[in-house]
Amino acid sequence: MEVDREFKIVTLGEGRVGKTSLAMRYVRGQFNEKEQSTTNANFLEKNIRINETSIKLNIWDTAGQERFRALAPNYYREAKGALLVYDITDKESFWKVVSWVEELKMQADKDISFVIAGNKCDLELDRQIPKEQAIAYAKQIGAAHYSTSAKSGMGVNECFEEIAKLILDKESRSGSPIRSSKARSRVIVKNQEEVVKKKKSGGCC
Amino acid sequence: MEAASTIELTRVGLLPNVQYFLPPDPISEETNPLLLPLHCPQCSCNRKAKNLLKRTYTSLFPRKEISDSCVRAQKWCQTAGVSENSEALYIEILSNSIESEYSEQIERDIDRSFPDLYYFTLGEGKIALKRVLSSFSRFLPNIGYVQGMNYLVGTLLWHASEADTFWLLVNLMQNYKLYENYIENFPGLEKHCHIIDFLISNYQPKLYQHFLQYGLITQMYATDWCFTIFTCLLPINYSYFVLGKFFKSGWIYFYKLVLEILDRLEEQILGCDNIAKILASLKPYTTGKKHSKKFVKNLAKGGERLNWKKLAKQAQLREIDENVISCLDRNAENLHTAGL
Repeated sequence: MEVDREFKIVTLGEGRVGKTSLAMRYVRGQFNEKEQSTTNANFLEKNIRINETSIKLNIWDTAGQERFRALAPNYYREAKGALLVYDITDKESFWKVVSWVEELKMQADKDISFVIAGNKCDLELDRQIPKEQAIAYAKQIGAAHYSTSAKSGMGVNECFEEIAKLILDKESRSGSPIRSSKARSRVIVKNQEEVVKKKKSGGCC
Repeated sequence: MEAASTIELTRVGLLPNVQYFLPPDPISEETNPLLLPLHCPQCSCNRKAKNLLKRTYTSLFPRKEISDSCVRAQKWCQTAGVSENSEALYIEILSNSIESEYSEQIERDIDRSFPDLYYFTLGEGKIALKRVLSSFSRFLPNIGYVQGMNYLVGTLLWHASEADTFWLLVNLMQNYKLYENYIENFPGLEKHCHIIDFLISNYQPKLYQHFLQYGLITQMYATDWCFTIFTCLLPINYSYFVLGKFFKSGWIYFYKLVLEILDRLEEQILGCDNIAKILASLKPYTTGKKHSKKFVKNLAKGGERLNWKKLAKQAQLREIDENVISCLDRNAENLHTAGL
């Protein structure tokens, strides 16, 4: 299969919130109740199709422990999207998401797209983070929020695909080249004048 | 609680210039029945012991009822310089280690370290793993607990008693400088990756170029190997092939094994045209025995029947320039102490 675009995505969040489980559920469609703890980072890939653009997602699934934060820049550098995961039954894990957002805004690619996933929604009874609060926060930072459950599969495909869509949207708005015909036509319609001007001056690389 | 007591440090071979937390008041076993060891090594090393007496002893009693370290672990203790009679001090440290700032992280990891093994998810091993990790994080607070240690400790527990595991871990940290891997900013990881880079550029220049071309940095695949001395990659009952040689030859053996693996994968990696494919061959993403078997099968060259034992042995036979490595090692340390 020919791939039009390749996006690097990183999963970040407190330990044991389900970063690996979400990634595994998405890529392999499997859920392992007894997922192993991650040291440093794992790598997964998946090919998807959005609006006739075939996309390869390179997913870096990182370790949650605070000390590994020092290595995280290796993985979020040049990443176009970040999936920030918290556990709805664990208050602390939500604050970790907030701190990751702060760090990424300072250090990561300035066009990086965020999606926040409130994982373990199958444990609704033990919820500690009110959904409204999480959604409000996501809105505030311009991110999408998804309620997910790696166990049941709820919201998993949606949250990863949302990242891909956000990245595509951002790219088409900023006018960087996209091979898909549909996406390209949309760019030209929106910014026709700009594109023409740029072509004339010949300054675009 | 925080004051370090004046227990003779030399008794257990501790270094004089390192900060240790030592319990102020020894607690006797009588007052703390919970501190009695429950854990018994699960390996079957003793059944294969050359010593007839030991073999008979083991065959008379089921392994699960003997809490002593197996013959292999006893050998490791000798090589690593773990002194005998260190159990009492371990119990003292343990009795002061119920809570530490790492308790929560340890709790998060404990039952997902060896998810396929009943012994570590629901059996006595779970408690032992937690106790050793907690004691260690309290004993050497600068190191604490870092993800990755859980695999190493679990593997040691498979062969050794709780106290021996603890002291083997302390010795690995100090005498084998494993602590450099785990402390803030991981200077050890940086050092080992730097040395691995150097070795690849020397012994497998094509591979080096290939990694460079696709932006693959050594940390991406070698971190787990460094942090766990390959124990996260091997099935627990095979880990001793590697661990035993590591106790004997230290990091030199580690580098040899890395080179052996890369050498065997060279052709396959050179055929990969992106970073994702390269990583997939170096870091197969499945868990448990299956993953390990698949990994080693993939390393076999032309019809050869390869297993971990053979691989570990062949790695040892490799020749690498140890002088250069020790130079690189020293340089990295000097840079680190100079704060660069």
